[in-house]
Amino acid sequence: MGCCYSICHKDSDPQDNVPNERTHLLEVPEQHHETPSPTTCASTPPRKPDEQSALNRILHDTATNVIDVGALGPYSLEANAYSERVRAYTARAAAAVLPLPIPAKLIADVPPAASKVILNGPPPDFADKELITNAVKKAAAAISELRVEHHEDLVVPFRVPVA
Amino acid sequence: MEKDLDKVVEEIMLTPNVTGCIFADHQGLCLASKGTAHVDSAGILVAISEQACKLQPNLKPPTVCLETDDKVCLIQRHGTITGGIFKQK
Repeated sequence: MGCCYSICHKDSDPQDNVPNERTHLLEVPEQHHETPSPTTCASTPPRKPDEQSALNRILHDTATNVIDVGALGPYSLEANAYSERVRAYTARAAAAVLPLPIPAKLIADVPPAASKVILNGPPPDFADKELITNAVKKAAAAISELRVEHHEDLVVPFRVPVA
Repeated sequence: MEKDLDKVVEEIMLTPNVTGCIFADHQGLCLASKGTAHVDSAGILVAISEQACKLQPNLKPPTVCLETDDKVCLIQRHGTITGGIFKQK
């Protein structure tokens, strides 16, 4: 009978602070009873006034710093302003002294007069010609003698002892 | 295995007034270089020699001589090997 009695008095007991067998041992906030589970609800933390104002401040700062180019609208110069700018820029460009690029010349054309003198000059040394001809002949012979000297085996079997 | 080639190069370098020596194969790969001859010049020396050979294809490869005021570069091909010697005039 005691058990039945406690069920009957369920509604009136939460108003009093008398602890009974129905009193919650842990103080659980009311709203958690309403949400079925924390994972199914949207990820919105409980909005405290500080966070909300901070978010608003960040939003406001970004909005003032952002330049929306698309929303600026068509921009056009007037004819006289355009021509004045052209004049100013060409004057500045003419005044600016650009460093001359250093021409890297390995070979330069000799003027025809000088080239005639050079071409009519003495031919290269015969001794030099002999030198290079003999040298390259000997080198070609030496290179044809190139052989691979076989000292050791390239492929060596791994002798792993089988236990 | 390149001992013979090294001997030839040494012999050439001992010649008076020779400052550099280089040998390359038909594709411009430098096989040996010594002295003032730069390894990277092998390709261009082979190219110069090839173009010179085209002047008279029926004759044997000509000797190319590049002269400055005080130096001279001799290039000659023999078979597939092209050699270059740099020397003082």
